[in-house]
Amino acid sequence: MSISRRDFLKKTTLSAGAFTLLSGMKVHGMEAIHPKGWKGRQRVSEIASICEMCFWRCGILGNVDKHGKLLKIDGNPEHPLTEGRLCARGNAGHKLAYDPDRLKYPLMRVGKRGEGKFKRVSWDEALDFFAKKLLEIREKHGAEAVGFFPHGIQARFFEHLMKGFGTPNIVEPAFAQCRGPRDVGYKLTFGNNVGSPEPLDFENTRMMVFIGTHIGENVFTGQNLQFANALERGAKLIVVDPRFSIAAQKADYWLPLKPGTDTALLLAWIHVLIYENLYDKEYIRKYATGFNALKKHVKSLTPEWAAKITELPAGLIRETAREMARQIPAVGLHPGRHFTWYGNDSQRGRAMAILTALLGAYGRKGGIYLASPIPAPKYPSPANPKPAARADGAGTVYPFASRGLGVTNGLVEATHSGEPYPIKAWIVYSQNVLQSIPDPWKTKEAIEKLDLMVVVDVMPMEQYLYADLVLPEATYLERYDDLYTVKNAKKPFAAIRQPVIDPLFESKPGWWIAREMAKRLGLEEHFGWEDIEEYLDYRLSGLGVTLKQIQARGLVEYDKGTPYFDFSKPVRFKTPSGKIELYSEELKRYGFDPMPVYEAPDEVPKGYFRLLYGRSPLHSFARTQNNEILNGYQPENDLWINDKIAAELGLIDGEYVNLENQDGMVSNNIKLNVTPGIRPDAVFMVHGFDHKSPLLKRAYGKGASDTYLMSRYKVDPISGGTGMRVNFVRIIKDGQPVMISGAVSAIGRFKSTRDARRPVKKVVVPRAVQSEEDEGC
Amino acid sequence: METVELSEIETRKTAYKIFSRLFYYPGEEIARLLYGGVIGEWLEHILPGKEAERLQTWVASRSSAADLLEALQVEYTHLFITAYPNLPAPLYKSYYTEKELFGADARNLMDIYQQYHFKVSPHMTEMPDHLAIILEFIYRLLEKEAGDSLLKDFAISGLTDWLPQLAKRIEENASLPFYPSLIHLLQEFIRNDLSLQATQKSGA
Ligand code: SF4
Repeated sequence: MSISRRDFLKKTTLSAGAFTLLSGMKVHGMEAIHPKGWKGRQRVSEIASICEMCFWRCGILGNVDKHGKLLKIDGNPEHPLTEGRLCARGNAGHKLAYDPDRLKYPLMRVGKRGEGKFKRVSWDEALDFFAKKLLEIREKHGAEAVGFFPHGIQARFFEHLMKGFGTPNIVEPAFAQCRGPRDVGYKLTFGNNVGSPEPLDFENTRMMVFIGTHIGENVFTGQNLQFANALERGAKLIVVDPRFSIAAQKADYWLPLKPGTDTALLLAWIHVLIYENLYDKEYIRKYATGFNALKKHVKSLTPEWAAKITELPAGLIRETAREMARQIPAVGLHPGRHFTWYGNDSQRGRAMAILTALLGAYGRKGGIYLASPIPAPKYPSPANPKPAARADGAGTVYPFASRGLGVTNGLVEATHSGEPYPIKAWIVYSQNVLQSIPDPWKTKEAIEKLDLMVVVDVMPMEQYLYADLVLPEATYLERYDDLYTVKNAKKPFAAIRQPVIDPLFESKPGWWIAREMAKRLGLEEHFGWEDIEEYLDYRLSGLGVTLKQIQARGLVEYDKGTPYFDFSKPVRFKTPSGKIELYSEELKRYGFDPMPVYEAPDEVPKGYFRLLYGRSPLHSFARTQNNEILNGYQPENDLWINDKIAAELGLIDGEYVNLENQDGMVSNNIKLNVTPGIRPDAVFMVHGFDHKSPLLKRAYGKGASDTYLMSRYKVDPISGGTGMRVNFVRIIKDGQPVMISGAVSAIGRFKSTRDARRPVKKVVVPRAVQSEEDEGC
Repeated sequence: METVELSEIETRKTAYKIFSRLFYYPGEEIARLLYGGVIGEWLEHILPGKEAERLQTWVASRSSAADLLEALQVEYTHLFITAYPNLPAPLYKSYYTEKELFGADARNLMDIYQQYHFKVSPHMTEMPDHLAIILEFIYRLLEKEAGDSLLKDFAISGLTDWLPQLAKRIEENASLPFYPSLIHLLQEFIRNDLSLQATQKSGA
């Protein structure tokens, strides 16, 4: 088709009024540049920062082209723990920044909750609304009616804001869905929780012991590197795991114990060390208390006793205990990370800590080295208001739970029940509450009861659908965050996260969001710094450097001297007795067993399998499944099932099935991985798949979700941690359950553990509880 | 009624500017101009036919400029920013050509902008290959080089060759007639413009 000049011109007469209006109209997206005055962006290669594709925060160097596009991410060779290495996820980080599905603008809900209908609004509009609602809620119900669910260092500024606002209800899944019971167990024993990264002296260890720890699948580049080096050096390895994990494949001993019986194995190991006189006697005599009681306690807990429970040969239990003893004190017994398994997990943590003590490995070369706080002062801020009592049960219902990290499930319960008081608002910050907290149905019901639900995130995770307001956070590649201090390193260090590229769209860094909110909530004084650079300079002043000085390298080390106990001086542990507590008076005082007691898990009903879950080296939690590169490598999870059982059931490797749990919850399709590498009574899948948010185009509906099979959990009464390996599944093929002949349906035979909260005993917070700043799982 | 006759270059320039504004996130000014019929009048002038009529009829059916703005903002968010269950039609060229944000196409555009001594304003939070920015670039170029355009035909067609894909997605997912009509009108205008330029070149 062609048009003549005459036609075109003929059509262009306008009324004078319209002409004035139209010619006065402005467009504003571009501007002219002086030909000589602007050279374009220079090539800026290698901007040092820290990764956040998982919580380990390895050192990165972002390579940026002249247009400001991040082309690739390399490891920072200066990083003390990773020495320039990154895992697959770290390498794929730039795809997060350029994910077309990311959140781009503040959004206000215009439809019903869950309908997913939003309108783009300006930051001013969004924050004014947010602040107004928070102030209204505080006025009517008190600041404690606001629950805050943060994750990661980016949320620290907002956490600071929330404390200034006055709510005590700040909860992270890093405690109650992850490390909580472990930290409680170690803290009760040594006076210190182990923290992150676990300070294992793999450089000098002669024996590594993993109990359910699957390094190699659960990847922290630094720990993997140290693990690989230790193996290369000839260190031995014992792996306890129902599954032939990557670590198990490298082990000298693989102990495929019956799931849930770990404490029995640990007690039997303790028995062997004590009754064969193999433990580190001098260390225990000098530094521990309660040895005689412990000796008596484990007298009958022999390898033969444990063999019946764990289904491991007694000889193997004895032999592995002796192997450990031969390497005293250079035994790196990994404390584990995701620790919330069966609802009695703090006692398992205690058993592991006690074993570590008997091996003389705490604070010793080759065992667990000592952390040293980094002298990075906090920026001065006015005192926070005295908060009301917590609603999540941390420090009360669960007496040893961390008040710093709180009990997520406790807050969900409180929101759901309105007890001890109503919770009216949730601010969910970089957390995926529906994929990390078990019983997501209850979480959704709790959300329905809220007056306000605000989500701050980078990606539109499922909870976004239930939000009244969505605030797009800049990715870790586009922002400054608070200083990242690593005390658990042989040479502690502080690293900075700084923008590698400018924030895309209208995403904003967490510090900016928190400070803008502070202005609206009358809390500016809590953010007294001029800008983020000045804030970081202040914190770095304790280390004698400025931000500018460390920007190129991205970090500064802090030499604290030897990371082991100096036994020439008196050693005092931060426990009530000042010693390692093999027997815990604290636990006794609160009505718990002062020494670990084995509690049998519920038996697997016939026709069912215990549902186990874990990690993949290619994904972090439920956060990375939409990443183009990582999704390409692993778009879905699969289901490990024992080969003999599969043959009996007529199941073939690679075929798709569904899983149905004891409460009739059915999973999405999942591909079978038929393998001899798992016990017949359990199945295993990688956590974090089957995203329910259709906005995650690549990840939506791919694989199966373990969380959506967790209609039950068992709460650890000591820590509040949710035991999540208490769910059982059967296989559904072509819509029908696949049963071993003679199997019976077990539905209805399970005791609900949903409401396993203990009655409140005392509102006194025990000494052993401390505010735990360390997030990440 | 007093009328103003626009030169060819004025017509082209104004059209690209208006289309550019219409593909940015709608604000009060644009809602006012739309509701007052000024933009409709213009569109009916340069692109008479049922699409311009459909657009104008729908605009006129709203109860007020504020009501129009709310409807357009929700629709724009739904079509171009975020939507349940799927984001139908992002306005970025490299999303269609490379399935990525800020892809090579976007960066090539930055080079082209720079070549003509323009850049995306620092306060602009959109990608360089956002449709509104591309249209604004054409407008600014025409304004700068009035009468003697440096803009070659290939440039306009190269900048807008992804519009059929975008149009299809808009049509399939829109809940209001506004954006389907608008993308139609834009495509028609570009076709006319290219055709006119080609005619001129060949000396017709
Ligand atoms: S382990 Fe991998 S994903 Fe985690 S911080 Fe390190 S490089 Fe990033």
